[in-house]
Amino acid sequence: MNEMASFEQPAGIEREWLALAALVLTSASLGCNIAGIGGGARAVLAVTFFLTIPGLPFGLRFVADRALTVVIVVGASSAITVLISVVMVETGVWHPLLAQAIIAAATAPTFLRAAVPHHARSDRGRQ
Amino acid sequence: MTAAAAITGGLAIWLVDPARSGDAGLVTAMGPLYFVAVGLLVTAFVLALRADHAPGWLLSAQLALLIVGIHGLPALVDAHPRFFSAYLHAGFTDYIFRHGAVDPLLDARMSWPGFFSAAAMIQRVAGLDSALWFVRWFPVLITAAYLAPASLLCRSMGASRRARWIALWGVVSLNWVGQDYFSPQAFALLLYLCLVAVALTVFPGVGVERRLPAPLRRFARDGDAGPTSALDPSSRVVVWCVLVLLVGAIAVSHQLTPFLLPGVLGALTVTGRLRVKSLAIIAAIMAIAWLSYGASEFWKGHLDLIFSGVGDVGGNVSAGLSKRAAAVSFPRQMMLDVRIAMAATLLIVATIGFLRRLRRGAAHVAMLLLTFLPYLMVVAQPYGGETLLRSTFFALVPGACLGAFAIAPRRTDEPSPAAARTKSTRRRLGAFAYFLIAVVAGAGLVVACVTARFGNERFERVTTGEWDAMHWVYGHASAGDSIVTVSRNLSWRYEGLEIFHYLPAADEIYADRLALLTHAVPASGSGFLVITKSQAEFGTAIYGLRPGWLESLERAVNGTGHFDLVFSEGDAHVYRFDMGVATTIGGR
Repeated sequence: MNEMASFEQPAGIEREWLALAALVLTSASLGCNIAGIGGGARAVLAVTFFLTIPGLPFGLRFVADRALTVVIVVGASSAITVLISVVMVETGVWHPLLAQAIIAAATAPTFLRAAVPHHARSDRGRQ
Repeated sequence: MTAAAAITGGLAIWLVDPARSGDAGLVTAMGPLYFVAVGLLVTAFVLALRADHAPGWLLSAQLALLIVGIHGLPALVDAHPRFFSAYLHAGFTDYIFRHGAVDPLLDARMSWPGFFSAAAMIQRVAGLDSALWFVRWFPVLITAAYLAPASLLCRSMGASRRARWIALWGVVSLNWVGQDYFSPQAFALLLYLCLVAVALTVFPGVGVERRLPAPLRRFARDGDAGPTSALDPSSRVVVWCVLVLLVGAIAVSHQLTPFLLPGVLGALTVTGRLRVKSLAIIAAIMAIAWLSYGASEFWKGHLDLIFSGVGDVGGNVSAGLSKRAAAVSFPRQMMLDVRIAMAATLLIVATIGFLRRLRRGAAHVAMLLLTFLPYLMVVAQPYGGETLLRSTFFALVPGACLGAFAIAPRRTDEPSPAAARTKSTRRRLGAFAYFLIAVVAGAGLVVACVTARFGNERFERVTTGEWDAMHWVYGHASAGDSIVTVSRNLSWRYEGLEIFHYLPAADEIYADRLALLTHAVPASGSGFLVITKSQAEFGTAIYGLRPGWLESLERAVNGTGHFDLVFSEGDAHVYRFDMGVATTIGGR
């Protein structure tokens, strides 16, 4: 059996769950910031957010290949986080919370599209 | 058995007292239960690997236990985060956190701020008041993160499931270098691994053998080409964009990696292992562009520092080996020997793995290049004597992936030997011997890793006295005060980098007691002198000073009459000084 087979997952289901998880994570992290909740949970959410969310829209294209997806998500998220932070430092516009909100706003449409299956959307369209 | 290993290990770690660490490091403080746990875990892992269909979650759980059992040890047994360099990096992060800017004149590392600024951004969003929160568990997190690209690299070579798990185990248990603390190089390595793993998976070279003369064709067979994803053109463009993002992030995050990257990508392209030629060129342009723009403040005044070591291989190697191999006791010498043996083991096992695969007709040239090319950094830079360590760190993952073939050389598409198994007694005995060797070697490797990695525990560990002393200093020091130590080995500089005047002793002055005393007693200004036992241990272990050197120095400092003991706890003393007029010591 080709090794690829062991990496292949039912793409639709995983995509939807990944997108839903991303939306929950984004909401939770933003919610903690808005509510001013401190502590370890907020820190864990923030670390997880920046290590997964910015690159997840890229990763969602490759969900059939789980190993590749994980590396692309982690790599792209880390790279985007670094580049955004460096741009903020170099331009003197230091607003980490705003940066998080922008990342969330930029990625949310992709997650929403992925979370709602195609057939559900087309059903709604017909109605 | 895995559960038993977890329980035994947990109990062993709960009982350990790191203060009992001897000259050979933390391993001497670990009780027998820890070694029992290691034995159980390795046995469970080998048994799971021998079973053809061991569940992935079980192997993952065993790997997680191994990561925590090795790289999470200090986080579990020490009261405070360890390693003075990690504290300084927390200080850089703190500076950006407070100012939203960098000051390259504070330190050269600030010229490559990517890692620090990202950490500061996360710190702000996380609502943390100190970056020290990251320091304790960073090695565990980053080591686990390395496993994702390592797994993909194995797959890009067509490694079997067994070889892949062995490689992942190897990545964790051969990582003795200790460079994975809260640092830009640890983070840059993750970006670098993601980049090469994705590039070799999505853009592998094809048809290389056709371009070579007949005798060389065997060596150019597509050994590196494992199963690849059948991506459509638009997905390939997306992957290419991700690769460029990674190159950009590496360029702004670390001093060495951006200059290693074009060499590695260029070598992969020239040997036909990588199809996208543009990456190497982009990497070179970005590295030079950032050096010219973002890091210009650094190189303006340090060109001699950058280029003085170029070509001086002997000097650069001895800077790495002689300083680090200056032992003062037999146990410490043993520990240093274990380090050298571990570094050699990685390269030897990788070479054996390469040769075993070559015998089967596949040349994994890409992995060979990734393993050995980082050592070319030795030609370029001594990097404070750390080049060899950094090279070994960068060779770790590809070396372990290649090394897995030394044990399990079969490719995924080759028939399983299980089908040909016979039940003869001779075969069974052979299998049992193989099992025993695997368990003993695996357990030995884990113990050797703990020995080599935490060999400096006596001075890298932060005691409660030292921790409290620095907190006291930060609570009482005023802006502009000097904070003086007789060694850079102290858990300090994690806040107020630009507020206080930090004065660590330079490496060069240890040979001269008068110079050290002169350093400890500033000629003017006011501030605090911090003296801890870990500084004494550092001087003895690294610079070969005789035991008791710091007590003697402390007495001499006291004798000047300018110092008041203002804080004392355990092994840490803080003196306040206020030099209204210039002080003369020893005829200075």
